[in-house]
This record gives sequence, C-alpha cells and structure tokens, in this order.
Amino acid sequence: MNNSIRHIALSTLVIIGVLMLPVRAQKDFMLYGMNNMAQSHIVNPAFMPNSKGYITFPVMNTHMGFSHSGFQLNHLLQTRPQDDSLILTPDFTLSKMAALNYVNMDMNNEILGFGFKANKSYFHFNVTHKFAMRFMYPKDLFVLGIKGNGSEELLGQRASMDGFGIDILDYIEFGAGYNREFNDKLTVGAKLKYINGVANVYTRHSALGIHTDATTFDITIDGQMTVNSSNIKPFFDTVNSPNPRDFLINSNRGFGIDLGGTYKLTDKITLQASIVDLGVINWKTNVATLSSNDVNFTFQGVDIKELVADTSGAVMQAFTDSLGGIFNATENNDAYSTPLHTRIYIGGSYKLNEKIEFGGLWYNEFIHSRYRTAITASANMQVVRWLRVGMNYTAYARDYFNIGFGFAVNGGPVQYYFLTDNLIGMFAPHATKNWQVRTGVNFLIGREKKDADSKSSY
Amino acid sequence: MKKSSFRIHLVIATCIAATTLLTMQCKKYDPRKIASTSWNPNLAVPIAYGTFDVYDVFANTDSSDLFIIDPQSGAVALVYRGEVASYAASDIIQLGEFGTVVNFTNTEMALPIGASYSGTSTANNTSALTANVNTGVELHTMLMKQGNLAISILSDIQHNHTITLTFPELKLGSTALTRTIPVTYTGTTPMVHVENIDLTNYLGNFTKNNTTFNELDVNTTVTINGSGGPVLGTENIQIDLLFSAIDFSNANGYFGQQTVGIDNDTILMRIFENEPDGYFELIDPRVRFTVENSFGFPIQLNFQDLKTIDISAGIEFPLTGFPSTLNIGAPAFVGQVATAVLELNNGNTSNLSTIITPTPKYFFFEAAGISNPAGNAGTLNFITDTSYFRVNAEIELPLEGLAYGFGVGDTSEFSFGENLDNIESLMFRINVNNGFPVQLLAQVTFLDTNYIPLFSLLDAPQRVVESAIINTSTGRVTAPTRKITDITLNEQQLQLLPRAKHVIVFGTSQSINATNGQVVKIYEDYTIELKLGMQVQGKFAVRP
Repeated sequence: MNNSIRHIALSTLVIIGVLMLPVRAQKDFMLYGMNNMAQSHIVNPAFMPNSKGYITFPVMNTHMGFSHSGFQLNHLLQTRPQDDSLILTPDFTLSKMAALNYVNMDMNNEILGFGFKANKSYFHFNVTHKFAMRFMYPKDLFVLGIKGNGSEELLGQRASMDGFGIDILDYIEFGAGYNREFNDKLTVGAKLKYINGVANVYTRHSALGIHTDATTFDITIDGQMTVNSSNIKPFFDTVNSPNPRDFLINSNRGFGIDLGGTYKLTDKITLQASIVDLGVINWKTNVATLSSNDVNFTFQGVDIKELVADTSGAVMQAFTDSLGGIFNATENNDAYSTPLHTRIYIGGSYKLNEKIEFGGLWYNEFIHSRYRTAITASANMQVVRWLRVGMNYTAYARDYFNIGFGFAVNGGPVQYYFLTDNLIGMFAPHATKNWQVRTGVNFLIGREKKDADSKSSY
Repeated sequence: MKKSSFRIHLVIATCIAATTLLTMQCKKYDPRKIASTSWNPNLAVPIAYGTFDVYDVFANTDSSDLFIIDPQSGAVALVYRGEVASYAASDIIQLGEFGTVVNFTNTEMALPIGASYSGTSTANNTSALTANVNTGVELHTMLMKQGNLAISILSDIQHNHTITLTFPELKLGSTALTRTIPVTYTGTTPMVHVENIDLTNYLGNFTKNNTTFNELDVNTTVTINGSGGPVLGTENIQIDLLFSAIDFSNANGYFGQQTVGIDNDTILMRIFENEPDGYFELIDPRVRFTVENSFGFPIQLNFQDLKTIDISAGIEFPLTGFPSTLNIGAPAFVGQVATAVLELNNGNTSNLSTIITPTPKYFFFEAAGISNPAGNAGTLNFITDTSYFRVNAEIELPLEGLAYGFGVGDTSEFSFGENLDNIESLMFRINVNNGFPVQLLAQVTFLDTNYIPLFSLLDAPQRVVESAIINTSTGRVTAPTRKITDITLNEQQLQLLPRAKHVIVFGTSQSINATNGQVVKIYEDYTIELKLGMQVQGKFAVRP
C-alpha cells in the first residue's frame, strides 16, 4: 500500500515536472520544504538538521536568484506561426504586467557557517554576504513608451509612475541562532544578526505621474522622489576614488532577528511559522539623500500672446528654462534607516510515511508597503539514505505555474545540495519570470547510523 | 535493496525525461530570429494657448488707438483720434524786417560853407517806422522775446559830431531806448559807424499814442562841433535803422481775419485697415471735434467736406445733414484755453451710420476757419508765443451692431523641411472657448510653387469658432461656447506637404444671427480662449 501511494505521488511529480512551463522561485520555497538540511534555519530558525553538527565549506554555499514579475521574454517575443521567427508582441506583454512590476536580483554567499546539537538545543552561526537589488517599474512606463501618451490607454488618464525606483541592499550578516525542542511537539528558535552595511540605495518615496488632458492635450507632471544612498556617491566622485575601507569597516550598523517555531500537531502533521530578517540598518557612511521638489507642472504649450510680442526669442528660452527647472533636487547627508527584506513563512507538513512528506507554505512579504504573497505545495522524498529529492509547486506574483526541484546527495560526511524554485528557468529562461538556485557543500558531523533504509539520513 | 534501486531509477528517469522535454522546447525559441515589425506610438502634445480679451482683439494694433469703456455698463468702443488742424502764434502774426533811413543834408544841418568852421550846429529829425506784419494785423504793443536793431551811420563831415537816436515808445522797463553816438573826424571821409542793439525784453508801442497801429517813431539829433576844418556844402549824414530777427513774447492789437481751417486731413480707421469684405453695421458711430483756442480772438470753423473713403474701390461716402459751423470764443485772459466740442452722430447727421457700413479705411475732414469772424469789434486781440489753435477729431465706434460675410485671408510663403517618414498621420486640435458673439469659418489650402492647390485641410470651410450665446434683446453674451475642431493630415497629405510652397488661410466671420438683423454688443469682460494641440500617429520600422 505504501509503495503504491509512493508510486502515485512520484508519478504525479513527474507529470507536473514534464508538463510545467514557466517556473519561479527565489524565496527559498524549496528549502522550506527540505527542512532538515543544514541551511534550513535560513527560512525558519526552529528547523534543525538531522546531523549533530555541520560546517559549511567557505564561500561554496551560494544562493542566486533573478526574478521579474512583469513579463517573460516569450511574452514580448512570440514565435510566428508560419515559421520559427519571433515577432514583437508589445500588447500581449503589457497585458501580462501589473500596475507595478519588480525586477529582483539576489545573491547570498555564506562565507562561514557551522552548527551543532547539544541535547535538545541546537546552535548555529553564520557569516553571510547578502546582496539584493530590486528595480521597480510601473506598467504605465511601458505603455507610455510603446503606445504613447496619446494612446487610448493614457489619453485622459494619469500615467502612473508611482513606485518607480531602485533598491540596493548590500550587507554582511553575522548571525547566531539557537533553537530547542521544548517537548515532543514544540520547537522554538531564534537567530540574532549583527549587520554591517556595505552599500545601499533606497527609494524612500516615489510618486510621479504624467497626465495628458484628453481635450487640450495639456500635459501635467506631478510627483516627488526621495532616494537615500550610502557608499554610492564615491563612485560618482570625479576627484577621489572610492575607499575600500568605507565598504567593510564603516558606521553602517544594523540588527536583525529571525524567529520561528514548529509544532507537531500529530505524528504526521507539523505546523511551522517563521519571520526572518526582521530588522533595520542605520546608514551613516557616505550618505547622500536626493530629494526632488514637489512637482505639479502643467505644460500648455507656448503662450501665443508672449510669442507674438517677443522678437528676441526670449519666450522660447524662458519656456525651455521652465521645462528644465521642473525637477530640482536637493541633497543632504543625514543618516537614515532601511528595513531588511522581511519575510514571513507559515506552513505545515504531512508525513505520509518515513520516506515521503508533503508540505504547504504561505509566504508573505512587504515591499515598500505593498504586500506580496505566495502559496507553495511541496513533496519530498528520501529516495535512499544518501539521496533526498523534492519538488514543489508555487503560485507567486501572478505566476501560477512554478515547479521547483531540489536534491541533496551525501558522500560520506560531505553533502552536496542543489535547490531551485524554478526548474524551467534552467532550460527555458525565455519562458520564466524567475531563475533561482541555492547550492553548496556541507560537511556533516554525527550523521545517523546506517541502521535502516526507512530512516531519514541527515 | 530492490526498493532503493527502484527509487533511484525512478528519479533518474524523471530527470532525463524532464530535461529532454525542456531542451526540445528551448530549441524552437531563438531570440536571434526576430522578424521586422513596427512601432506605432501615439503622441499628444499641446502646442500653444492664449486667452484674448477685447483689448487684444480690437486694440492691439496701435498704441495711439483708444479703447474706451463705459464705466457703468462695460460696453466697449473703439476710438480713432487724430489732430486735423494745428496753428501756432507764428501762423497768425508773421513779423518781417523793417526799418528806415534818416538823412541830414548840409542845408538841414545849417553849416556855413567856408574854408574853416569853428562853431556848433544842431539838427533834429523825427521819423516813423512801420512794422512789417502780415495782412490784416494791426499791432498795438509787442513785448520782444528777441530782436536786433542795426544802426549804420555814414558821414562825410570833416568835423567831430554826435548823433543821438531815441525811440520814445520802445522801452526797456520804463526807459526809452536812446543811443548817443560820437563821430570823430580823423582826416578821412566818409566816416562809417555800425552798431547793433539787442532788443530782448523791449516793449514796443506801435500806436503813436493811440492814434494808429504798426508804427514806431524814432527821434534823431545831430550836433556838430566845428574844429576849423572846411565846410564844402555837400556834407551829408545817412543813418540806416533796421529791426530784424524779431520774435515776440506777447502782443496785442487786432490780428485780422486769418485762415485757420482744416485742410484735407484724414484719420485711419484701423479696424477696417485690411478692407474686409462683407456687411458691417455699427448702429451708433460718432465723430467728435474738440477745438482748443488759446489765441486772444474768436475763431469760426465751417465744415465743408466730411466723408469716408474706400481706397481700394475708389469710392467716397459723403456725410450729409451735419451742422457745419462751430464757433470758438476767445479766452478771457492770457494763458486760458477756450474749448468747443462738436459731436456728429446719428441724431445730427443724415447718414453717419451709412457711411461707416462700407468699412471705409479713412474718414476725411475739410473745413474753412477764420479768426475774428465778426471783424474788428473793438476788443483787442492778444497773442503769446505759446498760443495755439488745435482741432482734434475722434471717430468713436461703439461696438454695437452686426456683421456678416466678413472675409479675412492671407497667402503666405510656406516651407516644411522636416522628415515625415515616421509620421502616419497628424491631427491638429483647435479648441476654442469663445466669449464673443462672433463665429468664424476657416479653411487652409496648401499650394505648390505655381500656386496650384495641393490639398485643403478641410473638405469645406468649417466653423472653428462658434459664437457665444447671447441675450437677444440686449445683444449681450450670456455664456461662452466651446468648439473643438480636429484637422487631420493623412499619410497622403503628409507626403504632399514638402511640396507646398504657399499656404492660404481664409476665414469668414459673422456676428450671431447677423443676417436676421440681430444686434450684438461687445463688453469689456468678453474673452476668447484658444488652445492648439497636436496628436501624432508615428510609424517606425523595428528591424533586428
């Protein structure tokens, strides 16, 4: 019976894996499902590996991700029916965009990490370099560029550029985590993080709109933009070169915390919840904050009366000057704070048997006060003692067909793992909005004895 | 062991199957094979705007044009003003040079003929000088602003002698002008003496004690002191007196009946400068003459010929039935200005509205004028060097009436050198919110170098300005009317545009319901808003 169910489950995963097209990930949905790996504490500090301890191989544990919520390449370039040529399909592309779209790029590299069990407690430490870039662009920016302000979509409407901007967050995290099984059911964990900020760009406020009057074609530009930065300005200094010391030993300090817990509702059902990267960084080094004035400017054309009366060209010059003076920016060097990219995971798992486990996950995050969520269903299988595989399905950011895949393979105390939330992205990047990989090598200490094929192995 | 092997094989098979299928999918998608396509953005931009009030519409042609507003109703009138006649003091009294010659002969001087004369002899003479003034002028007194008296003496008496000249009625303050000139014999004859006397601020009385006018006496005395020289019997003394460069500060007397008329002057009615076609009717035009007189005598103007002139058609429209005479009294004292006004309107003329209706370019004025129209009535005239007589004419056109069939047009050079390859169509939007009770139909036609029409922007003249809504009983606008006109140049017209070398812009306007006699009035608060926008449909080939 168990074998039959296992076969059915595996067959289902195979079918899903074969049929899937666009895939996505990057929020470590796969890692959440494979929750007894050495890196599992990244998504929930209450997770602990099956080994008694681990040491990560320096610099070899890496997470890289790229995500674009707006459209896929094959939305913009579609195959022509009569041949294999590609044609531009901007209308279709626009139909795939949300009002505000995100281009995310993440790269985390664990410089050093280790952990160990002590009775029912588990301690883990890490030094990780984290880089995240987030570019936010409104759909109307593309509508404006592709269709123009005189198009049906924008004439008489405000082309909203609200939210347009870029965030860059680069820091080194020094983390110390602890979790403990309080009883057979409840495990609680936390990780404290000391953060040294490397560089930052933060679009604190971005409101910009272009309205074209449907009757007069008058163009009104409104909005205001404030962008903080730290350790960016030296790159634009034409006299002095950036000082490397400012990036590593500086006054950019921050603190963060991860909190999590698991609760075994029954022998088969476990509930999990965590909030990670809750914290702030106070940026003080080489700070430059650029703030534009609050703009509300309507361009009505040239004043005919002034133009007729003008014989020196002064009217046109004044007109040009007024356009150039719409956006005046001021700069200050005051310290500022930015939040970490906080995520909230709420999930549960159902252990079908000792080999197979199904899981569900509700993912939450806020980007500049905008809520984003994801739902994941996963299945993990301990194929043999030295191999564990997993697959998942995620619906995220208006993309409802994301299949993830991962495995961890052990050779003696050395474990290699490869996880991706988006398998299609590996083979067909044009058909995905996302590309993500977490891979690395761990040195496991105190693995469980090879006593039975039915037990999990790490 | 068997179970483990099965699971491994299953996983490997799954991976191979997925990889194969995914790889097959990818092969079909080659981003290098992008076919050519097009990009067709649509851009809408405002070009120009303006709000024009009654000043902009009617009064921006010339700073000398007046624009008057009834302070109570706000009704607007155009006023074209001109000075049609102007006379200064020098036009009334022209003073030329005048003088006399006084001679003393040997006989008059009673000198005994002989080889040697040692006695004293005296001779006297009184002569009158007549002022050289224009006809009709009877000069009584004159205060000289400037002037010169030239005295020239020619004597051949071989003895020392003295000549004394006295003008008893030419005084500086209370002192009569007197000049004693010693003539010394030095052994040669004739003896010549010349001198000039500045007459500034001298007051001359030309009445010879109220017995006449224009005359001034001079008394001359010659005294000879014999020094032993001979007396030949042919001796003579000639004294030339010449008044010149005389200008007066003031004068009085009777200055006669001088001509002070209006001689063929015109005023341009700028509103009709372009000689528009169509019918135009102003129901209450006025012509106003304002006359100012600071001369100390009355003047009478007799208007002889008043008319409007259509220059292009060569047609004159005489005004009839107007009061022809305008009397202007004399000011009571020096420095005062007497003013008289004559207004011609529909009430005191027969056809003033009628002669304005043909939209003539000029109003023509001719009038005869005369000073002291009643002759010498015994009251002295006065005049100063700053006295003047001016006639100002105003044509006041209250903007109340009707007009239709007004065509305004112009042909201009045109050149369009821009590249239009990337424009599929071009649409101009004319957005007019009109607060004037006038509508306008317009058409624009492009012509080639031989003035052959290429195309017109509109199929037919189109109403681009809609009249505002009016109260039909008062003729006043109650609400503006907005009219939006879209003029589209299609691809074919755009291709022709670079060939266009001339453009004709033509418009026809009329006041609302003018053909049915609806009278409208223009008020100060009327405005017309114009906005011009452009919408471009672009076409760009996108080639990889």
